[in-house]
Order: sequence, then C-alpha cells, then structure tokens
Amino acid sequence: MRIVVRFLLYFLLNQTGLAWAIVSTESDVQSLASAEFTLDGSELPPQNSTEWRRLSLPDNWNISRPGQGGFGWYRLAFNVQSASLEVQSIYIRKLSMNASFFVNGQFLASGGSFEEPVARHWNRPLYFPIPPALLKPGLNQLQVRLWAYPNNRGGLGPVELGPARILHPRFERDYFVQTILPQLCNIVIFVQGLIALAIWVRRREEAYYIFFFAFTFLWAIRSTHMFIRDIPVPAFYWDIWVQSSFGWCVVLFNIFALRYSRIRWPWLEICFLIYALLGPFLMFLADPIKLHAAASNWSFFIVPLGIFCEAVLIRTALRSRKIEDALVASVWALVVLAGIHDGLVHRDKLAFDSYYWVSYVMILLCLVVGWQQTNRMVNALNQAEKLNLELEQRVAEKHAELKQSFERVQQMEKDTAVSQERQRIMSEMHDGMGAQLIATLEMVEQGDTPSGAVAGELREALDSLRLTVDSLEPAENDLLSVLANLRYRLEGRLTRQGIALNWQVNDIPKPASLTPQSVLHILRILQEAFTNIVKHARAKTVTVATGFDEQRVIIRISDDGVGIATERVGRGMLNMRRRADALQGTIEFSSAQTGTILSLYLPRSSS
Amino acid sequence: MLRIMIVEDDPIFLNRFCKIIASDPDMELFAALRDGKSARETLALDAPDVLVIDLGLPDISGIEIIRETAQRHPKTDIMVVTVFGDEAHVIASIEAGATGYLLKDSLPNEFIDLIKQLHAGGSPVSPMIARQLLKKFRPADSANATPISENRNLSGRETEILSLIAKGFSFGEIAALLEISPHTVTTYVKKIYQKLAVHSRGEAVYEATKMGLIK
Repeated sequence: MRIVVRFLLYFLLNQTGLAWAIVSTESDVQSLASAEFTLDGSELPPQNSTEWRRLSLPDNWNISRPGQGGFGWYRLAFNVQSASLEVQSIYIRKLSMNASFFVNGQFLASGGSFEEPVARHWNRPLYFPIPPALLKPGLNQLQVRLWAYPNNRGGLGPVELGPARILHPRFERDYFVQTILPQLCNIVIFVQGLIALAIWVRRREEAYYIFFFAFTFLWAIRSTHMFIRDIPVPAFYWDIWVQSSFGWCVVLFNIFALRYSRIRWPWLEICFLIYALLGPFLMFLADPIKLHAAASNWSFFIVPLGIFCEAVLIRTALRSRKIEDALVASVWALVVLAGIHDGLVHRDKLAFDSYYWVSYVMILLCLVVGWQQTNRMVNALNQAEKLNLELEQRVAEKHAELKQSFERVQQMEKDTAVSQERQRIMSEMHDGMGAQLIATLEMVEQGDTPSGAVAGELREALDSLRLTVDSLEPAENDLLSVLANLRYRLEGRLTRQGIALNWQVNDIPKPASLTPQSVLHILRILQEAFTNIVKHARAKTVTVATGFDEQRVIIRISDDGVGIATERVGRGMLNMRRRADALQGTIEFSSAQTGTILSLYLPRSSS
Repeated sequence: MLRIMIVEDDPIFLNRFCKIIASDPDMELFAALRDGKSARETLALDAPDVLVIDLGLPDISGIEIIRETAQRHPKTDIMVVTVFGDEAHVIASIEAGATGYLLKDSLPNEFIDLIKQLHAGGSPVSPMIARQLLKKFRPADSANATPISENRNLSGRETEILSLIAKGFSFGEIAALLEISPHTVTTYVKKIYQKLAVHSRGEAVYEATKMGLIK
C-alpha cells in the first residue's frame, strides 16, 4: 500500500513539475536547459565553424521547426568541480525520437538504430554514466545528435547532469512509470479480456462480452507503443496503426456499452464501424509529412464518441442504481478526460515532456468493468439459487396437492370397488341362492317332497354360498387353486351320489387376469356342469382335465353317463354361455350315449 | 374311549353334535357347553381328548379358549367348527393351536371320521388353506422369488404335500403319488399346523420382547 501511495505521489509530483523543484535543490545536480543547436546530419560533432543557434530546452521541433525532420545537433556546456570524486551521469527524461551522446567530442552512448525504423525513445528515459576519463575540471561540453520525425513531436527535453547515486534512482523510477507499468497494465487488461472471451464462448447470447474482449485485446496490442523500442515495420505504418487503433478501441467500447445497456441501434454501430475503418484509410492516402495532421483530424471525433458513450453509461447507472455501473461511468469519464488531455499534449498545447494519461486510466476501466461482470454473474447465481429454492418449494406444494388428489382418487376407486363387489354378491345371492332357496321352500310347502330331496337342494344352496365366499379370496391368477377349491367344495356331493372323480389337472399357463368376478364365473360354469351331471347323467366317473394351446387355457369336464339332452340343460346352458362371454372365453358342449363333454376355453394371459 | 368336549352356543347344533357322539361306541361326551366362561372353568379342572369348539361364542372369543387350552393341555386335540371353512377363520384357529376343523353341515359319519383321524394324528386341509400355509411359511422378504422347496420352516416333503393339496389332489391321490399311506399324509398336515402355531407364537414372543412386554 505504501509503495502504491509513494508511486502515485511521484507520479503526481512529476506531472506538476514539483519534482523538479525538489530535486534541483540538490546542488550537485545541474539541470541543463540552455543549449545551442544546429541542423546537421554529420555523424560526429560538427566544428565551431558551423552556425549554432542558442535556445532553451525543452526544444519541441513541432513548434521550433514545423515540418522539419532528420538529424540535428545540440551542445550544452557544464561545469565539473575538480574535487568531485563521484561518478557523473546524464539523465534525459524526454527526447524524440532517438539520440547519441558525446562528451567533449568523445563518443559516450547511443539510443540505438538510426536506420529506418529508428529506435523509439519518445517515451523512454535515457541515462548514461560518464567515464571520468572523458571529463576535465572546469568547463565541459555535452553534444547530442538527435533524430526527429517531421511533425511528430521530435525534440529534446532538459538534460540533467549529476552524481549517479542521485540520477540513477530517478531514471529507474521514471523508467518504471513510463515503461514497466504500462507493460504490467497490459498483462492485466489482456487477462481480463481473456476471461470475457471465455464467458462469451459459453454464453454466446451475451454478445457484449466479445466486444469487451475485442476492446481489451486491441488495447493491449496497441499499448505496446508505450514501451516498444524497435518496431517491426517502418514508422509510417506503425503510426497509422497506433493512431487508428485508439479510435477502434473507443468504438468497440461504445458498442460494448450499448450492448451491455441493452440498447440495440444497429445503424449506429455500423456508423461507428465505418468511422473506425475510415481512419486508417485516410491516413494511408495522406502525404507521410502530413500523416499526423490527417490522424489528428480523424481522431478529433473520438471525443464526441467518448462523450456519447459516457451518456450511455450514465443512463445505465441511473436505471440500474448499481454501484458498479456508476463506477464504470465514472471511470469512463476519467478516460475521456485523460483522452482529451493526451489529445492536447499531442497537439502541443501542454508541456513537451507531459505524460500520456490514457494508458494508466485504462487499467482502472478494465478493473471496474471486470468487477461489474463479476457482480453480474454473482447476482445471477444468487438469483438462480433463490429461484431453485422457490421452485423446490413449489414442486413440494404441487407434490402434496397431487398426493392429496391421488389419495382422493384412490379412495373413490376403493369406494367404487366396494360398491361393485357388493352389487356382484347381491346379484349372486339373488339369482343363485335366493332362487334356489325359494324353489326349495316351494318343495317343502307342497309337502309331498321327500326330505332327502329337500336336504339335497339345501346342500346345493350351501355349496353355492361357500363358492361365493371362496371367490372373495384373492386368486392371484392361479386357476389351479380355483379348480382345487371347486373340487374340495363339490366332491362330497359327488361321493354321496356314488360318482368317482378323476382329477387330471396339470400345470397350465396363467389365464388373463382373474378378478373375483371372473373366478366366480368359472366356478359357476363348472358348478352348473357338475349339477347337470349329478342330476341327469347317471355317470359313474367324472373326469376333470386341464390343458392349453397357443392362445387358450382349456378346462374339460367329461363323464361316462348316458348323455344329457340339450333341452334339459337349456336354461343352465344359456347362463354358462353368458358367463363364458363375460370371460371372453367359449364353451363347447357335446353329449352322446357314451357321455358328455364340456370344454371351457379361456384366453391366456398376454405376458 | 375318546372323551369329547363340545362348546357351541346354538342349542340345535349342540344337540346334533351330542347325538352323533352318543351314537359312536368309541366316544363319550366329556362336556357340552354353550359359552366361553363355563368352557374355561371346565377346562381348568380337567382335559378332554378332543375339544370341538365354535369360534362365535357369545362371551369369549373361541380363539382365546383355543389358545388357553393349547397352552394348558398340549395333548388335547382341538377342532374348530365353521360354516364356510374359510381361510381367515381356519388359519387364525391353527395359529392359536387348533389342529383340525370341520364344516357345520358335515354328515355324522364325516364328523366321527374327522375326530378319530385327528386323534390318530391326522388333520384335514382344504386346497385354499394349503395355499395360505405355503404363503405363510415363505420368507417375507422374497415373497414370490423363492422356490417353494426352499421354505424356511417346512421340509421338502411337507412343501411337496401342501403344493399337491393346493392343486386339488386328494389325500388318497397324494399318498399313491408319494408311495405313502393316506394317514401319513394327514399326519404331515397336522405337523405343519403345529409348526405354524409354534411359528406364530415365536413371532408373538419376538414382538413382545421388542415392545418390552417380556424381559
């Protein structure tokens, strides 16, 4: 934290020029602001014969010699005290574009290549210690060979001369602020952009992320011009790129702001893009000497663009009432101010060695936008969680409702089943036992029926009743147990009549579902068959057999009696067929002198 | 002489039962009672060879008397009288300790035969009861998956006999099929009844222990 404060302090002091005041109180450091100049291309310091003109530094060629470019020589006089044992050094915070240095005619150092593209020092402080052998007590001379591009703020700022122990830290500090810091900012901005890109790849519907990514990506590349020394292309193209890309970034951020604010004005976005593309086009067409004039004319319109964007951002913040939106709007206001400041510097309305601000404000912008995005996502997550909770609650409520109505339906079904069962038993009682009992009563009242016949009728009625009771037990689709039970119930009556039962029952596939209703139908059919045999067939043996084919289960009851005339069983037969129909089955009945065969066919279970 | 005790609240049926017993030279009437309370008092004094009891007594449940008698007089054979021979009544009686049952409308000779058979160690069973017994002995957790032969408490032969009865085969037919005497088949049934009674008593004890009634 302290480091940050100190850094900010340095930064502010440098800007206001206060730093100079503080440092220059150190008597050991001489600020050389007075110089002589000559326009000369020679590689070694020109002789006295040349015409030197006196001037004071900083010397900005845009002002002192507009349209002029190329090499120029400066010479500056300084004093060295013989007593000084300290290593002396020179420190130049601002020059443009490149320079080499000589002391008393002897070569000291060079800033790099003077061939096109020339090493770029417009934003790089230069510092060199002077070998003591080059110096002499008393008056000495520093010669500077400077290369300037025409109309591109070429020139030389004040030169400071003094002990290395004072000037080197000053150089380091300025080097950090002007060169290292923009590099760090660039990395942060670039990473921010990558995050936005990653979000956009997964959420294509939020297009503003891709515009933010494009903005940061372009800005990160563009900002290398702050610290890059040796460029890969001639300065002409490099300048076009640096100048246009600034406009592009502003346009991209504008579209980002519009999209983020959910404003869709496609025609406006197209206008922005046309403007962006127009810049480099105009610059390419321009005379290289007038490149910067063309760039300035074009980039002037960036200011209204920035102000428009500010309006959009303020509107968004006012509507959303979110602190992060307000912050983005505030920081963008700073960007606009910094941009205007840099524009003024660029147009030489401010000091020659002024800092360019925009790069430093841009990192703030990226940080607050990053925060804005994070908040958005966190809010969305919170909302999703809340929604989930609500949804769960609603599902639980619905579930309870469904359960309730399901229980109601179940109860209703149960009631229906009970009432159906009651009806079934009622109808059995009415048609079966009731009728039988009335018939028996008739026999008794007539008085001439033997008691054995009455007992037989009553036993039959009792058997019917038992079969009705048995049909209430769940049969679990087991036809065999139904048959077994029938045998158990009826065999006594057969035995008493002297009829033997031949039980030929084998395992059979399950018939289609056996409800109590269908069980009773089967029992009644078979009971009727047995009754017919007992009453009419005069048989010795009855055989009950089971079998099956592809679709059907077969129950066959045959006897070795004298046969039963169909008309004698007419009514019973009709009942049997009715019941078989209800079972979706069929009955075959054949009777001959040698006996009777009744076959009941039932559909097989589909499973 | 078989000493028979009858508990039946309907005087007509009681009378009929008494006549049937009197008609048989091998049997004598031990007691004929019309309510549970006097039956309980009588049974506290002495044990009959066979107790014939109706479930629907006016004062005490027949099941209760059966349970008490089975505990107090293990050698007494208990036979339940029912109208329908339905499984609900019969199974409950067997679980309480009865080993036989007869239908109320049985003919006198059927009645005599059943009592003698019971005393000789054989019990009657209907296909429906047999099916119910097979279900009862099947482990509860795998009601349908387990083959019948793997029943927990029934031997293979017992299971086989119950299955055949459930399919409607008579004792005689089963005896012929398994090459044993019909009487042996009925003794198997009686053993199965006794197992069910023990089984359900065990369950009752287990439940009671769990509930803290028995320490």
